[in-house]
Amino acid sequence: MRKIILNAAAVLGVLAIVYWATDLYDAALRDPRFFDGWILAVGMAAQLLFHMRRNLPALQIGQASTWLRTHIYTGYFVIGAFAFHTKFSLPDAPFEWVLWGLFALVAISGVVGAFLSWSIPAQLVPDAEQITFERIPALRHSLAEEVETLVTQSLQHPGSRAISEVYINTLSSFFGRARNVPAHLRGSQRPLQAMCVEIDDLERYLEPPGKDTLRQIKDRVVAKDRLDFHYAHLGLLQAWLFVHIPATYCLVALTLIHILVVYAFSSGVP
Amino acid sequence: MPRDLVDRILSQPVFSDVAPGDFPSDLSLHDIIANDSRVLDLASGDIVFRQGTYGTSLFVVLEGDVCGLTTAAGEKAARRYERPNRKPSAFGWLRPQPAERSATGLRLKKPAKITSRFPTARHERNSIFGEVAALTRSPRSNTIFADCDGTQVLEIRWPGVRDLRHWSDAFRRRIDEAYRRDALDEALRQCALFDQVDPDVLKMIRSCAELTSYGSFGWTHGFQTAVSRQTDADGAIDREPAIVRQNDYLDDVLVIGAGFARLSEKLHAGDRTVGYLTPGDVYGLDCVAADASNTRRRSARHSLYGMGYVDVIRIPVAVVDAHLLPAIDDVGQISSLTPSVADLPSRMLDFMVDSRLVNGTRAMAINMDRCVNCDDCVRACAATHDEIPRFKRHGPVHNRLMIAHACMHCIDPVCLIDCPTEAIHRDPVSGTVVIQDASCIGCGTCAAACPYDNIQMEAVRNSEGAFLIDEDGAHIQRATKCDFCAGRSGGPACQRACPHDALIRVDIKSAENLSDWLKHTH
Repeated sequence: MRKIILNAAAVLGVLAIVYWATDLYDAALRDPRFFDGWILAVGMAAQLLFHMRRNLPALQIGQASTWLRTHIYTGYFVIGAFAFHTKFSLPDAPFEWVLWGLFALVAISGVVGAFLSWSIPAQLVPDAEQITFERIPALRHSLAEEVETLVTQSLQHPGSRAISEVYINTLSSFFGRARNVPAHLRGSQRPLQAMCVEIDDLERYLEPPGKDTLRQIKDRVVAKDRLDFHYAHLGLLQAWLFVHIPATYCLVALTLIHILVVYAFSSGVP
Repeated sequence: MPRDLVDRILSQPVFSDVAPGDFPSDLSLHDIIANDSRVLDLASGDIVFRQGTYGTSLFVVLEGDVCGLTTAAGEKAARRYERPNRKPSAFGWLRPQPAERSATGLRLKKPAKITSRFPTARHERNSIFGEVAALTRSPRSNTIFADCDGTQVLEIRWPGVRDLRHWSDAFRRRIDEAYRRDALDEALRQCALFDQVDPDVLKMIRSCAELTSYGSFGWTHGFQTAVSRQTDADGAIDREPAIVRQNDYLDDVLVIGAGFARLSEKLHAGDRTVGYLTPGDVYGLDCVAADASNTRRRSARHSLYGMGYVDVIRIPVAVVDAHLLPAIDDVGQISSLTPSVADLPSRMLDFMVDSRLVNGTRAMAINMDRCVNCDDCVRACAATHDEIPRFKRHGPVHNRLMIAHACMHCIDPVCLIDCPTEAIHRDPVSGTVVIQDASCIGCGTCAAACPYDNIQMEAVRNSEGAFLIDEDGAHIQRATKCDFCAGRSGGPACQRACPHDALIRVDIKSAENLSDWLKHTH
């Protein structure tokens, strides 16, 4: 915690220095947007270095965790520098709106991503054995096959037909793909409870072999729900990157155009 | 090796009772000596091996004498006198190449000065040395060097030692006898407790001490199956041989010579693991010292169970009372040698000990509270190893700690035992377990022997990326495993690549490191 406070203080300190220097630049009757604009551009370029570090893991250029910390705190600095550059106001031209929107998207997705990377792993731990995102479809398929086999076997007992009805109406679609993702992200157990209640209600209409089959099906419903929980959270851990990285590339391209346009139409005196 | 030299070796007394008829026709005694051994011609001071280095060869003195340093002071002095035994020369190519020297390439500058100033153990003609490190895969316990010019030493590589032991009862008995003699000496030398004891007293203690072995060298066979079937810690303890039971009267003070032992205490109806002992650890001395005045109350505070294979040196309590305790000036040293209860939650310690993860010196620990499944560690490993990752980001999990399936570079690397070509071996200096790709024949013995499933068989590709196929149309395979990024500076790539500080390579023995890391990263 102490480290976080110190780093945050350092970011605020650097921002204060930039603000003061911009003010000084302005007092010298120069256009401060060139000064804070270049600081912003350099900050954004520094942010790209982390992306390069991740894609060149064989290079011995320091611990990736140090790079990530630097990326996060530089990100907060860049948000501040962007606020200075835009003078804390909204844009007034379509191209600037696009730039502003992209920057906001990159910044918000980055902050959200940092929060998700910090909070989600701890939520997964209680029932996280070896479930990785890539293995979830295979595990789900395996559970679906087991349930189908159980249901098929139950058809041999005339008093257990109710199980097949539940399977056709509810279970087959439940095991077909990931379900209740929004509920899992909200932390709600209601869909699972509803399904368990439906299964429990069925028990009284079954003979002993059917009851035993139903218990086994219920165990698999709970296991599938756990898979869906992991699917939702592990998916979210990956999904934010699909917003953050493409938006970053777009932002970089438009920033380069922005710089060219600014210099193309400048009076020549920064 | 020329045939006449092999005949000469086989005529030595050490092989006198080894019957060639005991060996199968496709693995004759002659072939083993010819293919798995070499003769080292040593000059005075040439070092055969150094203390602390790793090696699985066994040595027999053919001519002359060799000396082994027996004290820490002697070892320290020897370091100062070490020089390369062959100086590079611009005209070296003009001279005929000398016969093979020690693998270390080192020589003591003034060996006579070392032998006169420090105590040494002399190995004369026909004596065997180096068998303790070979059999237990432990580091060499002392430095051995030639005492005179013209010394000849036969070095038998591990595959040869293994085959000789397997096929010849006489040779096995001879090696085991040497092992029991030297292991006792080495264990007493390793233990810091005996540093301050007078050599005469130590000699007396040695004569009364007894080496007892528990378990078998082949403990890995069936270990994985047993772990997967096990449902609780008691199941694991039940399979382990009891060395001492809690509250039993203490007859002996125990020193662990090789292997591991579990320290546990009774809790309700079961046993709770409170620590484990490794070579050099002492058990029972604190009880004896604490109740020095009341010999009737000396009972074991904890139970001690052997894990896998354990060598235990038993020193009778009467000897300890009469000779050892009076010789120890600093009584506080006793508590420092007695293993303290480990600083890990009890269930985690059970998990570590039950799964034998305590064997790991560079285990891959992943904090599941921080891991976001980004696989940057796997990508970094692949990028540094020809696009083939050397570990699986899976493994046994306890609470929020995962020990991934990456080679742990074990204290006792049992994967080395049955390799037919010695392709998998220990780096003599760093101690990391590495596979020499050129020597690996893809037999899969090491992968089957690894109790932790940390060695995988991979299909070999040619330079164009196509799989290599043998005559039967099957993929040619070879063993791959984590090499701890050997030869690359900066440490293991996996650890460096983790952006969330979720992964470290850790020596499980220093449990406090693991505990601190978990607290720090929580």
